[in-house]
Amino acid sequence: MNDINSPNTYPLPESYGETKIVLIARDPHCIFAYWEISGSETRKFIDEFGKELWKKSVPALKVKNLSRNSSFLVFIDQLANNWYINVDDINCLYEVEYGRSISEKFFIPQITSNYVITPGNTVSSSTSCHFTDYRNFGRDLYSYESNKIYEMYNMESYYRNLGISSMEFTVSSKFEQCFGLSSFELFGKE
Amino acid sequence: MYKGHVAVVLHAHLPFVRHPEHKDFLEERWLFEAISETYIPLIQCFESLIDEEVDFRVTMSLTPPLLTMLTDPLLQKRYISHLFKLIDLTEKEIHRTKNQPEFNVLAKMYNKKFKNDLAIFRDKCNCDIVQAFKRLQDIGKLEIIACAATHGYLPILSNSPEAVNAQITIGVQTYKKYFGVKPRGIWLPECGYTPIVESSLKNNGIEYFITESHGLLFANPKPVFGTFAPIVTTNGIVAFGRDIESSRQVWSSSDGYPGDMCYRDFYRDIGYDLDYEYIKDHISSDGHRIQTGIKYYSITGKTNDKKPYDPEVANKKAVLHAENFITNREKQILSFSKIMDRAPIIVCPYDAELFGHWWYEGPNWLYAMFKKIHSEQKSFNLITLREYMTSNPIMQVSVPCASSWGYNGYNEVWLNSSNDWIYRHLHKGAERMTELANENRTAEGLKREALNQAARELLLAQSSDWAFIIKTGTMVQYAAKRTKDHIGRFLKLYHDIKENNIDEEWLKDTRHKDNIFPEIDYRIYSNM
Repeated sequence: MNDINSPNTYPLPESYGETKIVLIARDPHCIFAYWEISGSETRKFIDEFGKELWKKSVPALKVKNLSRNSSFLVFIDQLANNWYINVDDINCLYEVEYGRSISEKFFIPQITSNYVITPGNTVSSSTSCHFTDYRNFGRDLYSYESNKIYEMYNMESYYRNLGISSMEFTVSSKFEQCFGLSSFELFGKE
Repeated sequence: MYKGHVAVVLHAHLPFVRHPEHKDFLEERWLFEAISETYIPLIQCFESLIDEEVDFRVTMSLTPPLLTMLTDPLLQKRYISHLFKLIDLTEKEIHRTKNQPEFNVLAKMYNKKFKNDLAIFRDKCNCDIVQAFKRLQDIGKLEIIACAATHGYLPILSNSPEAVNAQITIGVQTYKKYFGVKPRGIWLPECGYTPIVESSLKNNGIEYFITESHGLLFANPKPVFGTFAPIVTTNGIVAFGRDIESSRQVWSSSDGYPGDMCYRDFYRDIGYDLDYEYIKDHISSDGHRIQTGIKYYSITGKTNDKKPYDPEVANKKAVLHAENFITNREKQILSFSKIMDRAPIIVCPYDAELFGHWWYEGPNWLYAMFKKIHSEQKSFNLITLREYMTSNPIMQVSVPCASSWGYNGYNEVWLNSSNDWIYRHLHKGAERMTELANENRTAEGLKREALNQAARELLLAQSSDWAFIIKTGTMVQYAAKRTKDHIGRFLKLYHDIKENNIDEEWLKDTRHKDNIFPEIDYRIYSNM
């Protein structure tokens, strides 16, 4: 392999000296969070709440489903700087707070993440049906009576006949694993 | 009057791999193999169809890194050297196999093929095969669409609107540079869609994109016609969905055409099979055995005891598979045209490199399919996505579901425990690039060059290929090094610019190595 051990490889910084938590919605039921807590943030916590509380508490993530007004705590490893969070609800707005906790009921937030929306994985229940000419988007909107048009053009029986339920649509992608979902699997067998 | 339409969409992409600092660089072979096995065979397939007056349509993306590499004089020169070495090897092979007729005929076939590649590439195309694709677009057979600048995976970059906007805007600018017109459609890298990308698509005049099947099937409100008609998003951009059945017929390992036993086996290659002393001048310069592209066996079955490859039998099978594909599309179209108020469209997107590189007979399959559709098919015709939109402009308004065409349909391939370390650096890089652009609205001279190079390094680090390769576990070291190198070069430039201490020699050397997007303007990252 050419150049892999070249001394010119750049070491990546271990931290950027900031306090920040970032969320990425990985799939309908998993959110990835990464964070960085600066030394000054830790000192600020100790100054405000005392060293005793710092020692007694453990780092935790408060996962807030803002769409459903619910939340839960995830206790995390002291040295972790990222976490995969399992969530129940699709199409929901989430936010995560990083902080310290003593128990399920006692959580002190230190930083708050960006918002993410978990993607859907089912056929939409909305049958509000409008058609328009894409060239004059928004100018003319043709509305149809809900449900009637779906009954008229019943496509779901086709997908059922293919042997896949709506939950399995996404699994169609797995076939790509066999032949390389991008060029790289093709090139990478050497 | 046709009852429906089939749109074949080919996505041609390779990451930017160009190493002028080395005399011979293994990963540059990805390009050389793709030129010989995919791009030249596709051009030949399309030109033969034109000579035979066969009407056909293909929608095709050629990504900015691929366009840059295909028109790079250093890589063009290296490809020609690569061909000369292969011609030399095949001549040795003709001699070596003179008493093995089943292999000798194949050695002669490869010799003829590589000489033909040389004639097409160097003599007919004057080393610029992009022009051949452009001509096919100019005469209306191909519709070439744009792609993001370095194939950045947009759903995970979307924490930074500036990063997404730069990927799309520079992708569109590159398209205009090579094809002289503005692109109407775009291939979202890895079919990675999130509604956040739409504002940038709209600002760049993009009219349509393609999503994975469930991007459309799970759209909100529920699309009446499933994937058999496009929808228009609330931003006025058209989204087409990948057809499930036709994907499965080509991609599936159990049922897919490329796995047929009589097709050429991809893995058995003389680079591995022959005596080391004999083959050493044609494998990696560090002595590692690699694929040479000369393969003598058919897939045969799940056995190491492979049968010799028979091109005649394989090409007859490609014709049968083309007929089977047409029959199945016809069944779909006849079935849906009865229940739809418009002609259904079946969107069939594939990686272009599947055809020829992995599936050696793939270009012949396309050729046979297009020819048969033209001469025999009465129910449907081939169409480009843009043509379909023009003839069927009334569409349902719906928002696609965030999705990709990767395993499990979302972001998992590009975000998992093997590659998640990348993203804190990519996100920070985008933030810092925006900071630099905002602070330096009118930089000139060396500072401007440094700012432009910082933008190039960030874009190169964002290529989805690195995370993908790390996940698949092959060539991991190279992909990790590329990620680290580009982030590292970006961070050095960031600090040098902030400290007003730009290392001119280092910058010159870095620009020489990472010379993609020569016309880039770093101010694309400004949000002020």
